[in-house]
Amino acid sequence: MSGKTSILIYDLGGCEGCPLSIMRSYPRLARIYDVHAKCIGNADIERQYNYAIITGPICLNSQRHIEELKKIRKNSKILIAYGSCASVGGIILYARGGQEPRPDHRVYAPISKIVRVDFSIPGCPPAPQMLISLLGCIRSGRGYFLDLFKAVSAYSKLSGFDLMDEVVLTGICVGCGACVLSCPTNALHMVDGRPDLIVEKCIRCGTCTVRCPRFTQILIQRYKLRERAKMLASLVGGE
Amino acid sequence: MEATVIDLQRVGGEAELLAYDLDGIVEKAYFITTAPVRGFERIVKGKNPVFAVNAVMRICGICHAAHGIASAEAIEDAMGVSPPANGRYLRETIGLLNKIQSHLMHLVMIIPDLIPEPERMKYIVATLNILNKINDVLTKIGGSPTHPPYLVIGGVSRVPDEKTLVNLLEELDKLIEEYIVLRRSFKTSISSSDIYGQLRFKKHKPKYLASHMFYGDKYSIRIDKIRVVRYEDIHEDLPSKARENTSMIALYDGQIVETGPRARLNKYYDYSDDSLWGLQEARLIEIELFLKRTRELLEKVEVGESGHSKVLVYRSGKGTGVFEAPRGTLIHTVELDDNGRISKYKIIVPTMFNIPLIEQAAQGFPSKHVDIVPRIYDPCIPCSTHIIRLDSR
Amino acid sequence: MAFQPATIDPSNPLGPYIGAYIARSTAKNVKAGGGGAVTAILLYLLDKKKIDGVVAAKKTRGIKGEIVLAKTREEILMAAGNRWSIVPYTMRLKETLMSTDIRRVAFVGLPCQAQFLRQMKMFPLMEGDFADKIFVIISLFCMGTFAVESFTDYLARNYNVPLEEVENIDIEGDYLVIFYSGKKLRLPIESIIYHVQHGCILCPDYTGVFADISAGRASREGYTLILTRNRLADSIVNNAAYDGYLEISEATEEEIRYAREKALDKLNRSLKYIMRIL
Ligand SMILES: Cc1cc2nc3c(=O)[nH]c(=O)nc-3n(C[C@H](O)[C@H](O)[C@H](O)COP(=O)(O)OP(=O)(O)OC[C@H]3O[C@@H](n4cnc5c(N)ncnc54)[C@H](O)[C@@H]3O)c2cc1C
Ligand code: SF4
Ligand code: SF4
Ligand code: SF4
Ligand code: SF4
Repeated sequence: MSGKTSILIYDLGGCEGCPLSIMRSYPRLARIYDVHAKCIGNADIERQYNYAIITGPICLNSQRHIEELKKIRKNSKILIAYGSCASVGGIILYARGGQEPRPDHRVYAPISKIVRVDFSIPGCPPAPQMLISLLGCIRSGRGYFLDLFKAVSAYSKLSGFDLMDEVVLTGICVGCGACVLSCPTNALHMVDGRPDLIVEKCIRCGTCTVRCPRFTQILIQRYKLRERAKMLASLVGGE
Repeated sequence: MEATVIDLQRVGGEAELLAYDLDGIVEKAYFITTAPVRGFERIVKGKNPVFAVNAVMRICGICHAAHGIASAEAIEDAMGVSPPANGRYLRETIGLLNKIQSHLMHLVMIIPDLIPEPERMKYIVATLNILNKINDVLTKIGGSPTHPPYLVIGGVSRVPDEKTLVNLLEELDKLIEEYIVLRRSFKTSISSSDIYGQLRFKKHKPKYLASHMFYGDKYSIRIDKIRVVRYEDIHEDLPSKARENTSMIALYDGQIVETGPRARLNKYYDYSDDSLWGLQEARLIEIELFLKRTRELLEKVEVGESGHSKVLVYRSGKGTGVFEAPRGTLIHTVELDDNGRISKYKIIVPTMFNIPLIEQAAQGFPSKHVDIVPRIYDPCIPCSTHIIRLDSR
Repeated sequence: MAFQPATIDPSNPLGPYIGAYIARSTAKNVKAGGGGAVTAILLYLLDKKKIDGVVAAKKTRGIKGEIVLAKTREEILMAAGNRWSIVPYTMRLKETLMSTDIRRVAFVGLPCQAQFLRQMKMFPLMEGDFADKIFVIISLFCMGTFAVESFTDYLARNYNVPLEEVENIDIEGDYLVIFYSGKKLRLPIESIIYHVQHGCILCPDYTGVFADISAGRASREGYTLILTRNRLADSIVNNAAYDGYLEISEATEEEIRYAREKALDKLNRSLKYIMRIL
């Protein structure tokens, strides 16, 4: 095997849109990384990887998938929840089970509910160039947007509803329009200089929230407070 | 007999093939999907129909538009609205581009079986190149290459302008040529491969199900003849491993039928090739036909005319939408309650028809290469694990 | 592109930059907000065919504007000057950009919009993003934008300044100067702070640390202070000067301190208020 950094791309039950979007830039990716994926035919979750890119949500009623996810976490240095389903739940948060042939598959969640996630990337699906760009940034160090994607991993939902509640309805929206240009279903539109949510179109992908200059600021600041609280807790011997 | 479980890779989704081997030949095979069931039919229940179209596209990242179109058709049928001419042309275009995407992606995944190392990457790159250009075309017409947002109830929400259309037509001409060149050289490269010979040799003659060559026509098939059963219902003595299966099976008129590219060509183009290779060949033929049809449709689009009906009628009703997805006949049925919200939703996807055929075709195939059989059928697991008929277990 | 710090660093509130210049347009007929330097750079980029168009804000009515894609010199000149409100990006912009003949575009916007564009360019989260069309991001300095209706209503009620008549707004020291119907109204900035958008009070970024080029008012009257944040940006500014579009000189310590203080003020304001809403 070459000395290339190894990456695993693994889907846990999403729509396959995310891994296929990655595969479209496969020739470029393969020049830089040693890529392992089901679409290529060489996925093996038993071995070690530098990066694991997980797509799709985790079904909390499927022991098999939970075990797989834990194994991948153990075997990889950096774990990335890639796409809305894996990172913030996406459309699949609406799942309520009851459907044949497995009515017991009731609850789906972002993978951060089960394992520690290093970076959470919304997008349904993210554009093909996204992964190359992201891995490049992770290798070259800290930055605002990496902190943002790290902060997103502390959330188990983020959507147009949160954007409305936390930014627009609280009056801190400045009306820049970034969210409107970031919605894959055109669920946000500008009304009198403020975005409004067409609720029946929102698929809870979370893209709008991480593109909003106000919300990103809040996400990062809250994450920092949380980390500080964790540190204090560990100093006094708590969890 | 020795049983092996093959973790299938290079197929759309998570699945295994449980194969029983006798002297190097597969004696019996079970195709087991293992992806969790997300339950889209339940997800959309109680929701606004507008949500349903956006939601069901996320059943599958491969045949997203097919679900979007079948869903919109079903809801329009229930609401009693229909798209204007532009909407019909553009919607069909989106559907065709989606089928081309899917066939090309499938080609990328099957190339490693057919073409050895030094040339392999060249073909993958060439195929992805065409795919990326198709994606650009779909972005301009549908708003995005995956889950195109311009697909709405009542038609297509944006109509491209004159300049864009002219550019697209030029682009398509180039794409058609590029594809024909790729296909020709691909065929010469594979003809010497071992596996190609095996695929040519293995024949079986299934019954076919198709509703239209390009779009979908609910009147050309009898939907009442489709029966959806549990996997256990078509197999006796199911090994316990196979009971983990998460997909359902569909039968037409009580029989196992093949649906997809070969069925369409058989019914509308008099194509007949009963070998396993014939199925792949049909896909390669379809890409060209679809590219040409796309071109034709775009020429019909009237710039300046609307692409959607601009009416949503919230009322109770029942509707059916049938669309030819990349893998075959896709059926969505919907019932709306008095508020126009969804009270019942049911989806039958092509892979549900094809699963028994994958198992039949695997029988008698050399065990060493049997993983290519499901791959050549191009099963779509994200789709097939979202299905119906509620009864107690 | 230099990698941005996690948050804006109080020891370096202007963000990373490699060049700082005092500039103004060599053309005297530019009806600019400062030294017309931004307009000059845009004209240079267009003339030299480095871009196919510019996304900027054109004045519509009073202090309101509209996002436009300017494809000719005339359109760029028409858009010169400041719109004192934020002009939202809309779906129409995206559709225009998606149309086939536009390949590379320069974006002019406020720091918050520069952040959005930078994120899109670095991390395309959507397949429908126009990341590959963004050639250069130019950010104007920004202390905050007005809540339009609130501000114009205030002017109309208290000073009898009708919305339609507002021609231009300028900052002179601690005063806001409103030009209307040939008249001038000077208001202390403090008195109108309530009409600045709430969200802007939280905003930590004065210069647009995510932009390639940041431009704001220089302490010298009639000039623009330009910060270039990477080599591409620096060569654009220098080449525009070399080709005679722009008159530039290195910014002095004094000039930089002037901007730094304002940036620090804004950062402190942000840190103070963000704690209230977490
Ligand atoms: C709301 C606002 C607040 C500002 N606050 C400060 C400040 O506190 N301190 C400071 O030093 N400078 C501030 N500026 C920037 C400053 O006034 C000048 O815009 C800057 O010096 C550039 O001057 P110029 O003559 O080179 O630009 P010009 O040649 O006039 O070009 C300006 C370009 O910006 C575009 N533009 C104008 N307004 C907007 C807008 N709202 N959104 C998007 N594009 C726009 C125009 O279309 C034009 O292309 C502010 C600008 C704005 C719009
Ligand atoms: S995020 Fe979207 S594209 Fe990705 S798996 Fe989920 S539904 Fe599919
Ligand atoms: S509003 Fe749009 S971008 Fe935001 S979560 Fe909903 S679908 Fe995603
Ligand atoms: S991105 Fe945030 S600040 Fe900008 S318009 Fe949307 S909600 Fe408002
Ligand atoms: S103060 Fe910040 S948020 Fe407000 S307009 Fe300026 S850059 Fe945007």
